[in-house]
Amino acid sequence: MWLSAGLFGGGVLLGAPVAFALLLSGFGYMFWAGEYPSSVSSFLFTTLNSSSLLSIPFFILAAEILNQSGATRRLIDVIDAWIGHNRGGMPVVAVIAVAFFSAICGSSAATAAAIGSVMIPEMIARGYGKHFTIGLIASAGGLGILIPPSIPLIVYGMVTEISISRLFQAATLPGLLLAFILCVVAYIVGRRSGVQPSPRRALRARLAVTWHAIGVLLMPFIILGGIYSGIFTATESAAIACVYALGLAVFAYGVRLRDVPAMLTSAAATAAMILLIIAAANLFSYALTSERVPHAMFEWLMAFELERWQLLLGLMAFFILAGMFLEVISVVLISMPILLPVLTAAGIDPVHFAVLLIVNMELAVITPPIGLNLFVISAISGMPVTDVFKATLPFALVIAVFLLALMYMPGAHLLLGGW
Amino acid sequence: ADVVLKLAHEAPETAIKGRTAKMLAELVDKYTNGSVKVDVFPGGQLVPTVEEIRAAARGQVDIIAPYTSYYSSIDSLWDIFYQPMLFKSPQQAIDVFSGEIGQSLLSKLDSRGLKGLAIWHDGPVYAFTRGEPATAPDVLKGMKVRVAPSKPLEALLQKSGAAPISMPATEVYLALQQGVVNGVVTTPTYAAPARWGEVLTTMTRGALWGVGGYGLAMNKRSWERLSPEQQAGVTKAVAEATKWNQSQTLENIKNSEKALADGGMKIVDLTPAQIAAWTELAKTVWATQSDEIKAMVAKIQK
Amino acid sequence: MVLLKLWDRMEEQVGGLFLLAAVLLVFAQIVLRAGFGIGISGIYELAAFCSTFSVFLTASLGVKRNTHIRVDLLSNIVPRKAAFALELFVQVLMLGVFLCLLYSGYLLVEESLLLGDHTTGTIEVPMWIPQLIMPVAGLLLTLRTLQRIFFLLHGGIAAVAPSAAELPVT
Ligand code: NA
Ligand code: NA
Repeated sequence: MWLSAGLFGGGVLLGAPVAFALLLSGFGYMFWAGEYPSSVSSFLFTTLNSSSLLSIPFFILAAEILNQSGATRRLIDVIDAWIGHNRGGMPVVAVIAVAFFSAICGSSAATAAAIGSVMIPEMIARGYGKHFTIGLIASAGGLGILIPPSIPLIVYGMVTEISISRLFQAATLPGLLLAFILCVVAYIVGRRSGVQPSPRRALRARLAVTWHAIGVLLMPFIILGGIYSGIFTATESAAIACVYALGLAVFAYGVRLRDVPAMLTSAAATAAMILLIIAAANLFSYALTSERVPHAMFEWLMAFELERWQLLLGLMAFFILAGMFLEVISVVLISMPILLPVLTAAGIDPVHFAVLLIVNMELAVITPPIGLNLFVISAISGMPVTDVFKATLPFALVIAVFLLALMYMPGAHLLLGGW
Repeated sequence: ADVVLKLAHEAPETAIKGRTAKMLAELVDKYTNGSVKVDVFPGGQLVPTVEEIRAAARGQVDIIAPYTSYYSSIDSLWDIFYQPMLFKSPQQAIDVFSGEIGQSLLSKLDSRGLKGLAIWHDGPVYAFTRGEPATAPDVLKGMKVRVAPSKPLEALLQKSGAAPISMPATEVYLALQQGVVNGVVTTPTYAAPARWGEVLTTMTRGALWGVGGYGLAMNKRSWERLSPEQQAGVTKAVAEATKWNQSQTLENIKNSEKALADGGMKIVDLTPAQIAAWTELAKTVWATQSDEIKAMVAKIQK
Repeated sequence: MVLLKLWDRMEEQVGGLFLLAAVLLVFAQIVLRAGFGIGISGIYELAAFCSTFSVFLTASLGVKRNTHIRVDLLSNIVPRKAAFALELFVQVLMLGVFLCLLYSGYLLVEESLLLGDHTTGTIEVPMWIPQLIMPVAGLLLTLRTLQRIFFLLHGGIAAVAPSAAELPVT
């Protein structure tokens, strides 16, 4: 366990790519544990081959097509046309765009990247602070896994055998509420920045811009409608998103067929980086599970014979710690099989818990050393990972307070119950 | 303990397999005087289900108990569990697989680096529908029926005019509710805890589409590393856990069926004539199997 | 040289094509089921294979372009000469990891040939075929790393340039 952590930490510190530092640690552990060498490649292969992970490259591809075809731009234009003329409106536009995109895409990294690549340069050009802009979008990107569809919720459903659509329903209201709260924060900070708002547009112009983007605006209804009416499964919705985005790009937004291969290559490159990290991080979590580290930690926690509220608090603290070092999907995969009986025994509804866990995981994607949103936003903005992390800190605090409120505010459980 | 063995399986701790595995661990501890410890990793937390056989073959984990259908991927003889309408009752399946046929399946694992230990049982595989009960092949005509990948079962569905659909178990509830699929082929012991009873209306009993069970196996090298006394202790523990599993199986099936019935599901028992009609169709599926399976089928029919 | 060019070209296109194939397979499955009431088990597995191929075939492209996500903590604070030595060390370390992956992948394929397992369902694929991607990935990554070490040794300190700007992120 210490060996794995040491090899990984050392590798990253020396500047080895994160995925390969994890791979190094995986080989190190397998060697130390005396396991047959084929187990590493077998494990990588099996992890990537699971049907729930299939949706990650699909969502990334859909995001890429939407960006390259100008669909994301159109989406942002609509929101800007309706509310951008208010002072401090632009950051709110960004958060709403992220929230809207989250209803199309199940991955937080792809969501942050899609909106970030358009919004970050735009906001900075208009005069908003670099740290504020980057921190806002990197943190809001976490909505990608809270507002359905959501890849971690798909994985949670598969592990716990809870209906994925039930999980999606339970996450919807909290997702919208968090988006609203981030809007308020964005508005207050944005207003104080004194940046000139977008010009106010006439109703006609607003309607024209809206009509212009109707194809993208319909997308969440097609994706979520398809899932809730059972035409396709949550995992399959990612493929629908790709096909729809491709159709939109080629038939409506004038993308030429010969431009498509470049989109595919670019999406494949991003997906490969993220999936390699996830697969290799799973090797790391195998080492932890095999050494019964999570078991020991949960048992240690149980030994205090906590009250229900104390237990929840303890678990959330544990997950914040785990979320720093592990990738979100690994966290769900290693903790839930062990935790499910504990939750049942403590009378905690696993559907409610799923929402709390995912809100917690929004912190995981912006905490070092492994935070996918940090990596992705650093890559598109050119800001070093450590600075992106610092920029997200105030927003991380907002998310943490929201998490506490979800756990302890009277009536909050109604929010979690879905509709 | 001198030896620590890792037992990995995908079922929840509370399912019959989880309970049997836990009991096995306790019994091994008892019968080897604590010299062998079995560490149980339930819920697929250590290795993914599809990886279990491989992981055991190479010694990454020591003991596994995957669904018998996973063994079909290395030895098609295990398809015998899913020869439709072959078994008359869950009890008959228990008898068959504790006998010669079960032993031969287990001993054949030897060539794959595994020591076959026992066959544990789950429940009978029945046809469940949303609507009319599957009393005759015609009823399923045009229906979309969810089934776990299995060649003989898919073949029978196709022959009765239904479309076999494969989808992850977690997606089935909604798919049934929305009419994307109209039926499932599964065990009552799976359907009940998954609460599929809420979206299914009938279960057709009397003709078994197959037998749900698990193959308990151990890495061969891990087995050979044990001392003769330890091996004897493990064998004794396996026998006792298996016996307990068998005694619980029928009870467990009854409880699951009761839970489904209490939830409003109509349970229909087929008449001998209806069973005969299904069996006629099933025979055309058996006919396409390998000679070895056909021989097993003939033996079981006797 | 022609071979090298061909390899570059293939690496750039093949990952995207496999990704597209995966999307189309899943889409076809939905259309067949929802539109025609046809179910073919095993399509999902094929799509997952395509996606896995895409990942591993693209991984070496990332090594070539130096676009894999990394944290440049140390190399930014140490002097340039030390940064060069560090980069060289990391590359050699990676070379070791990729050689291990190559060997591990080779053993995996051998293991599958012995075990003789295949996917269950209507479409039956022997597992060793998709698993061939593991030694292939190990080989491609090894070759690209060797190439990078070669450039480093020839280009000297100038070759240690962060190339995040090139990063193709959606
Ligand atoms: Na989402
Ligand atoms: Na993190």
